[in-house]
Amino acid sequence: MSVIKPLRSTLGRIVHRRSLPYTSLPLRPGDASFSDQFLYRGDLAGHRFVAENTLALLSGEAVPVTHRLSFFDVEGQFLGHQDTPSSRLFTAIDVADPGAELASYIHTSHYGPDILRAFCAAHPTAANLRRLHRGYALYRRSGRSVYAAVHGNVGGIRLAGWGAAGRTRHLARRRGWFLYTPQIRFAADQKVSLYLLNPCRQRERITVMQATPSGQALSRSELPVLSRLSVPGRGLRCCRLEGISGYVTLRSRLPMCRPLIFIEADGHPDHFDVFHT
Amino acid sequence: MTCYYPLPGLSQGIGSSLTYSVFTLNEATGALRAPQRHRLDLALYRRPEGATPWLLVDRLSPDACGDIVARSEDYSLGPGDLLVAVPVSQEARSEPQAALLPLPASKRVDRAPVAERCSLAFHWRGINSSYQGEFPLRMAELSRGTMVSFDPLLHASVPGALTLVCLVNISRRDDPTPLRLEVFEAHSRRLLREVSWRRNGCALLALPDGLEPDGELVFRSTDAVGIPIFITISGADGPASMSVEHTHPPTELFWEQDRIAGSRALKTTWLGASLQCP
Repeated sequence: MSVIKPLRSTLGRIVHRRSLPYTSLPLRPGDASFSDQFLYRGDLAGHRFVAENTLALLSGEAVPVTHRLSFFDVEGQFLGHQDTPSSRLFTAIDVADPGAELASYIHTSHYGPDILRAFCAAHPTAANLRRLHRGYALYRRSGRSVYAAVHGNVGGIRLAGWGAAGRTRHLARRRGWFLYTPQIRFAADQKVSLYLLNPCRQRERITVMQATPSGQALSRSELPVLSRLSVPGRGLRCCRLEGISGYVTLRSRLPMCRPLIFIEADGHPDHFDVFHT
Repeated sequence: MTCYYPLPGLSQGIGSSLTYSVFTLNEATGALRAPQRHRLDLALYRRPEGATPWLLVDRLSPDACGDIVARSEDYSLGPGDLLVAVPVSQEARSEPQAALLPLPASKRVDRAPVAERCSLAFHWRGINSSYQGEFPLRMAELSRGTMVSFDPLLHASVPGALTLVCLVNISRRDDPTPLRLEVFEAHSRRLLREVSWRRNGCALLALPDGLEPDGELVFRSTDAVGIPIFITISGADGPASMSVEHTHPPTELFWEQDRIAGSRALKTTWLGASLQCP
């Protein structure tokens, strides 16, 4: 029974892999800590990341951990790490300048061998659970505003090794063509920034189109193209929209091409609306 | 995953709205397709406290752009009240009363991932903050359940700001038994506050508002499921700014195949914690 269930699950994933955002194959032993992909913006008044300590959340006790943020520039090239030790359930990290005004990053957690040994002895059923770091990114528009929070989106990225200089393993996969239509109607007086992060190893081409130019159903070839982007693996691009009223749709080979969206409204310089779709 | 959409009544002068689009959110597409549109309306239902049936409050149709907007101020929602938006086929009739909340229609056209969402927005002092949210049908079908959440989104706050935690429950089959939300310190297990709430309503908790925690907070409910939304607003004296986001459920802390086992282990720890009463 214990073999049949995972086998059926794996077979189902292989059969339906065309819709899976991540690999359909089981993970290898030792794959312990995967991360969503987050956005760093250096043009704001502040940026925090809230990192979760999964073993502490499982045990209900303080567990020493090192949180590592690993940064990549817009082309997907490794920039550096930021390490933060902590024992808390959640740690708010003020993100340091990684050396680029715009970057993506991942969060992985590392427990020392003695810590892991003690945890495995006390919590044998929880010891082999694979951690997914989804986290919360917080952006502060001005020194007088609160931080606008958004949780992790898509990723499935891990460091190839703790000592590795930015080598990563990617579980996200490109598949067939998808149309992703964020469920938000933009207004012409808004300044909208769509940040598109590519969690795959391969470059991805994304076409941003207007979904409702006249409120009529159209074929794709009739939809106005707002932008064509070529996003490197681990990298990112930004698409700015102004004067657009209605919905946009994104065509790509990513099963979940979910932009992170910032909306600025006139007359409110201390506030923006930040959300993932 | 078919879903309901909550429209909560809040406090602190915060209004809410939801915008539901008739476009499919995500679809595997051939070469020539535009996003698919659906002929759907939104039926708004309310479960008055102490009343037996669900009451149909309104039924809204999409505008020319393809979306439907419902605002809390149009329905005089008080703090803790909740309207449930149910997508229904335009050909389907909505009964004025229903013992069971109607099943939501789906916009899915294939196996493309991502839950069916709407835009849930919150309004305060002329600004908006939103997230793309939903309340899954499979959660609303549970007659019982548990909820464990934490306070990472309190880090969005700054001195002088206030955070309103809004815990939303939707249950297709109502049960008038009062629910209890406990808030306690994670490390000391000191119980800080108990909030009484009900199914098909919201528990509201303002922070800090006299609560002086000495460490991280845990929110737990041992009798119902719920989705916590954290709404942080700046101080009344300075310029307006706001943050809105929901916390991840424990399943999201683990990779796909480990979600259930991980969530169960984490919940066992916190639901079984003995609390020190003040």
